[in-house]
Amino acid sequence: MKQLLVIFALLSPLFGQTGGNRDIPVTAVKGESWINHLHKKFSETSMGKTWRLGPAAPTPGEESTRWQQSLSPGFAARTMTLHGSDVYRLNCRGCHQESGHGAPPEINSVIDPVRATSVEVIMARMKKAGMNMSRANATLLAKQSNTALLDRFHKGGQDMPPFPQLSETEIRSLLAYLKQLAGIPGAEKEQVAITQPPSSVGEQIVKSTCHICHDAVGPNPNPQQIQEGAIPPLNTLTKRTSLPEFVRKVTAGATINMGAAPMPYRGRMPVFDYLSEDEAANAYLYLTLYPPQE
Amino acid sequence: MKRNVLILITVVAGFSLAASAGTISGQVSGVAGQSVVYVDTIAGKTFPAPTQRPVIDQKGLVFQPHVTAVQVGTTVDFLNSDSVAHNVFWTSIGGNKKLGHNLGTWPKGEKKSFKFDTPGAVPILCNVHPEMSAYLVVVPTPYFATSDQAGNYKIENVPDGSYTVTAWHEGTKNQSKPLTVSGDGKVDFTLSK
Repeated sequence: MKQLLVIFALLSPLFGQTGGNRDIPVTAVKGESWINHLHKKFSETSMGKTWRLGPAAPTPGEESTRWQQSLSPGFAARTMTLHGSDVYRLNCRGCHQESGHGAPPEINSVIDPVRATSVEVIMARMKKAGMNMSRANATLLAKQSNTALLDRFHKGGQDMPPFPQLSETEIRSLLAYLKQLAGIPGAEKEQVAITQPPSSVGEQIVKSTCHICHDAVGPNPNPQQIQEGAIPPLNTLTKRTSLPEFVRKVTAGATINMGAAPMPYRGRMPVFDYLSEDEAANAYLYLTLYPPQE
Repeated sequence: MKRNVLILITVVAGFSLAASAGTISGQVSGVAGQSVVYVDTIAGKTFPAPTQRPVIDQKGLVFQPHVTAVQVGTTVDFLNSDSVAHNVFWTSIGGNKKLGHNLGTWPKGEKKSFKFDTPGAVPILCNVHPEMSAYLVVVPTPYFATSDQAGNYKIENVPDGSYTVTAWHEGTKNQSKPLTVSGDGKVDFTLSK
């Protein structure tokens, strides 16, 4: 573990500056979690009901499940190539699911609002309904829907947080993928690949996914408080877990000690098996190098 | 003294109203859901535009209500009560494509208004959510009713006279029937898709 920390210390000057075409700086995650902002209990949210939980705690005497870490060597210094599908995965999939259909009524589908941005889709739909529409009128409708969608990314909504951490380049790439996901004809030809420094990858995961449930800053809860529903804040995560433990917890799940007489339990956090180990490690590095703030 | 006269006038007016106005009722069958039944244009008669502004809300990704009837000249408020942006547009009024209009796209809590000056059915859509639809039926007289789900309707306070009564239902052709009202009247319609 110590060796890993030394490697990070050596690589940290590179982290955050490595290539990429970012047009906004990486900043620390701040403030309360989104579900606390909404005054919602974790157990009442779709994130709390995924049932995509980690392995069960081993029974006494049984050996715990083995897990082999497979981080890429030098990952902290390596620029990542992200496609729109990756931007979606890092930022949207936690709530809107792989399909984009979300979990209505709590999480709305992204499919219809995206299809509404296509002139061709609007014209075809209206023709099918027996109400032919001119291209000029369909273009106007499509433009309005595009503005509404961009507004949603920038300002958020009542239940959806804003995403100021996404640069214009990332949003362009994301929009192109959303169009493909929504089945807009020809969208697959318009996919945009972008290069990102690992700090940006970590920032996106932490701000868009972890921060939905974890506050940025707070006291570290004890096992009794965790059993009662407390969610550890992000600022204590890098102190209470090592990088391998963190990567394992995020990508494969791991037990957590809970209760007055602490015992290992599988816990309540969903497993984010759609994140690679390198990506989870980037989230850890980001939290280390950009300590969460009040 | 003044008060007694007023009471007398009120009573007389009440009697004369009761004597010259009735209720048209009946049932629209052959179709499922709400219909609109109205007294069609009365030759030589115009009516002042109503001041009431009905609201068509967008809530839970549904237009509420699904069917609204208004007298021509009415201003309708289109409200968005959802946490997502909605759009409101229609491609025609009474089949006239020149009267198609795009009211825009707006966020939660805001509303936009439109004054409907031409009679006819307006199929209302939201471009963002294609499964959403509603109908606004703009009718030429103040004598109209929206039926219940079983098709029962009641148009109240219709003055005595001879009229054409028309039934509208989503996806069907309007059906009109003549009716002479003297007191109460009854007209049933059977529509088919």
